[in-house]
Amino acid sequence: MTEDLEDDAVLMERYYAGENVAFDGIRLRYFGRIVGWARKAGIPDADVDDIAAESLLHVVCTKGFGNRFDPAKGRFQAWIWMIARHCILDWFRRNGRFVPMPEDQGDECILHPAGAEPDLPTRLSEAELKSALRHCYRLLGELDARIVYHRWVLELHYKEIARLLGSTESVVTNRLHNAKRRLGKCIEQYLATPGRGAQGAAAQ
Amino acid sequence: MKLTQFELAVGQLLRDLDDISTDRQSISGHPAREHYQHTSECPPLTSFPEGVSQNWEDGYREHVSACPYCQKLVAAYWAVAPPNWEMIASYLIDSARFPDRSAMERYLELEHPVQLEILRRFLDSRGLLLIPKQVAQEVLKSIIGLFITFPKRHPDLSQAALPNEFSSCVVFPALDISVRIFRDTEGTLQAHLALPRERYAAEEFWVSICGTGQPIIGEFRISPSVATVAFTIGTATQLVIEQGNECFIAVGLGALPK
Repeated sequence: MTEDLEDDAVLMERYYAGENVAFDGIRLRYFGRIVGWARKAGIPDADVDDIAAESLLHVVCTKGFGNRFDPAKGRFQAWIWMIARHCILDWFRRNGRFVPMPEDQGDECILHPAGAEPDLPTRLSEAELKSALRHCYRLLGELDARIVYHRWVLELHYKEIARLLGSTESVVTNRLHNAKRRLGKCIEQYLATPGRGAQGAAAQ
Repeated sequence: MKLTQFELAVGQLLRDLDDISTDRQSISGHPAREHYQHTSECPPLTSFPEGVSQNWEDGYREHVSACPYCQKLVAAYWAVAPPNWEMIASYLIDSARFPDRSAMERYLELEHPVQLEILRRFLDSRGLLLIPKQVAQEVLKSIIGLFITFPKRHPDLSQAALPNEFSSCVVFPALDISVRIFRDTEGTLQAHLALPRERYAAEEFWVSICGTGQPIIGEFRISPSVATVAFTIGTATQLVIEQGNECFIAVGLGALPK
């Protein structure tokens, strides 16, 4: 997103104030982005456009039904993501591929023994981290990448992911654990490579 | 289970990465584009709340009825602001002439199949699906109804162990009537109907309760000479919520519509 574009929060403020045309900016910016989110979640191409349109309509409806965007509470992208995520999860429910989980299962300790947690370098910019993640995420392979996305982005439970992928909970648990370890190591190595890190990200 | 700092951070970065995909071709950037069914004739997205809930402007009505994209958005709008039961009943009585037929089919299929089934039972029991559609639409206008949902922690009303454990008050503002359904101290399921006697001194009431169980409907005629009416709806234990928590209560003046 370039700097000369009007800020999302300003566009929403103008829309809430009655200037409907301001919402076009939001629609044009986020339709494709939500399509991308839905695709990454594993939703078929035939339905991703519907999810994007529904999500944007939900944003439109916040004008009259509460839950308005409030810039004091966070970034617009995080807010619209929550709306899109709701629509994505709804799709899974509607298509019978979702198993609602009542409560947490409490297996965190099995997955993440003390000291095993990788870390993202705090000294780097977001662009540098994205560059590293883009590289390493692609190396995970399709199945692991999807598991990571379902768990860390959509925040689905292990059983839900297993159901979606036609696998078992233990497979999902193990693959996610290994994927995290590999991802942490890969990011570390990527950023340590000369020409990458800060310079590499800037060059992309 | 909460995500760790690392997982949260990576999750957020992944979400913001626009050019990755797990098993499909990469999406390079986000060229501004529209829904694949969108046309230049479609009304703006921002006009849907007003258009659906009130009236469409500038000849949009005809287009919205025929456009698959607009029908999907109408259905999506109803997911946020559900249509009233009269609208759904009107669709059931004469779906061919219902202006947002595709949207209603999609909405009911995706969101509220239970309500659809209950309303169909109600209309069928009243014979409204068999008489001429125009007459049925007129009869519909004389009925006041509400959907009520019992608390989910009590999936079966018949299992209520404590007196007054179930208590659901349904208010019909247009008629100034309220109906409270509860289990009394002896364990009998009852309904209390409270009505302003001075307003309806010379009229007869009917109350109809329809759920997903068997029998499909319970009907009660109420004398106008009392202010509060209590009636036992033992059969409604199965009638109302045998297979779910939702039921439809309709109230009307005069004789039961047949």
